[in-house]
Amino acid sequence: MENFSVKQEKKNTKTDHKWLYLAIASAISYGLYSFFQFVVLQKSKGLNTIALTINVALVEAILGIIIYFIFKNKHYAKYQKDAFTNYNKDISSLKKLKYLPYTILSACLNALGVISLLLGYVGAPNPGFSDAVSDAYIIPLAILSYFFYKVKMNGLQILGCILALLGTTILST
Amino acid sequence: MFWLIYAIISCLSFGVQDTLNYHLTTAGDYQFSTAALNTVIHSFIVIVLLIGLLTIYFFKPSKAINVIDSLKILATNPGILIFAILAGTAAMAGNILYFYSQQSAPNINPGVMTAISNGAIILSIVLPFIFYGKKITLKQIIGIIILFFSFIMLGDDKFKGFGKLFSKARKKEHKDRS
Repeated sequence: MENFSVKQEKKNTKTDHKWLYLAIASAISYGLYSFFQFVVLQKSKGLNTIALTINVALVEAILGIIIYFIFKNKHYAKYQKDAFTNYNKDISSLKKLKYLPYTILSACLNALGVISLLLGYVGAPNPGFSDAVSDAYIIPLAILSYFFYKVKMNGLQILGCILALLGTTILST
Repeated sequence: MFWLIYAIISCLSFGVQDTLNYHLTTAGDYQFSTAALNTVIHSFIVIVLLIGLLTIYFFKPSKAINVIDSLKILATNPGILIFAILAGTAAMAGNILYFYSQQSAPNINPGVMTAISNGAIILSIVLPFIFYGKKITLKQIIGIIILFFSFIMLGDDKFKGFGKLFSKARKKEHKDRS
């Protein structure tokens, strides 16, 4: 009985860690994304950054559409799990009128965020300053999530976020 | 100081955008597949950016032509295109994993995951150092160390080793509560 509870506890801890491993994996992916963009800019100096942004969004949309058609095939439909759970059904639902204000607004805000960041580079004493201010979007996100969804941060997490902002500011300036 | 206003607009836009995405994948009535949300949003982003490009073309053709020329360079050079595709694929994986991380822990404030995913900057400094010999300054090393400490704090007592420093304090906190 004791063995069972120890095993159960281990299993629960493993599940508890999942979000952390996923967040670290996302950081690695974003890091690779930055690096590949760096390689593109090294290979073709003077390339317009808006063109690069359009290209990245286009690749993501095309890959997503390819995955949609792969899952349409009966043989592959069973692979719709984890982050891809109900992938095809959800794509159809997200295009419904009820969710369109969210998705269109999200897309417009993303475009506005990227373009204003690029415009910020122009006058900034160092492009990193503009990056550092833009990266502070943790603050509005944390505040809005707290007000609308009541998800709090503990003291250690608040301190961690402040340190993370300090670290990214030092690295980008 | 206009750069600061633009940077603040960018910060607020990303903050509100992430909150909307958090609503759709985690906090709303229905938890959408994070990959499906990424596909739909990026399809709309392409449309929004292309409409923006057409508008610029209408008012300031020279600026739009610069973007169009760059797109042509990307599309016609396989050596560059392959890395541009890899960049898009990595960005897609990053977004999906980031949303999925939020979805996996609905009781944790999404700002925590954002802070960890911002650690990407470490790789974007280390990889050019490895592959292109770009030097790493002392200031950058200090920044990387600070970021690592922030990850330990954000991961709470789940990191073995360093996390034990904090887990003692947590255990005491639990004891006090009980």
